[in-house]
Amino acid sequence: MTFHEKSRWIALAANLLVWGWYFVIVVRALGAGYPDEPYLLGAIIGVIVAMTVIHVVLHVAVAVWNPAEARSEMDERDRAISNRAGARAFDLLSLGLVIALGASLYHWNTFVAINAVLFAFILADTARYALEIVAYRRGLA
Amino acid sequence: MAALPFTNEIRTLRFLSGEMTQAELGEKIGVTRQTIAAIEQGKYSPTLEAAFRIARVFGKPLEEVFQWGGDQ
Repeated sequence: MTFHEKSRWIALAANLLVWGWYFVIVVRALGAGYPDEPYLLGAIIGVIVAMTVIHVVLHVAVAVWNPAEARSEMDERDRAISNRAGARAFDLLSLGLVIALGASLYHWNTFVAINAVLFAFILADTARYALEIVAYRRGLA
Repeated sequence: MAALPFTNEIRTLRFLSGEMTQAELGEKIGVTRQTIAAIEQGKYSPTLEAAFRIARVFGKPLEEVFQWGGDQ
């Protein structure tokens, strides 16, 4: 497994754990009827801190485990996988944004609309990492 | 994932070249060991440039390294 593939596994796991936790909080807040905005602001700060710590710690750990591999640049296969996954994730992002912004014109308040747009970004980002990992594992034929 | 319409003889050519490793071949053409493995297994179609570089390492024409097996 190349450093770049390991990096995608780290990013996917971090997205699922940290952003997953955040959106569970958002859904619960909506279920309760009224979002506690200071608490949610704290949650966003917590997400940023957690994502930074997870990415830095795990990438450093992987680099220490195999320094030569960590210094390697992306090769043509890494770039091809990244480009293909990125294009598909962009399609998903576009669809998500159209749905989120379109729906917000009707029933949603600002809180819901902002989180729907955020969800579209995170979903596309997570899908990109997942697609890259699938391509690394199954091939890019 | 669909299979590539061509096969290759890279594994054999590596063996015949003093049992060259995937990492050594990768280093010579500027890709990772994992990319050489993916090419050998038909999981990745190399760029034309990489294909020529591989053939050049073995001193063979492209057709002796990669063989078209598609319909046309």
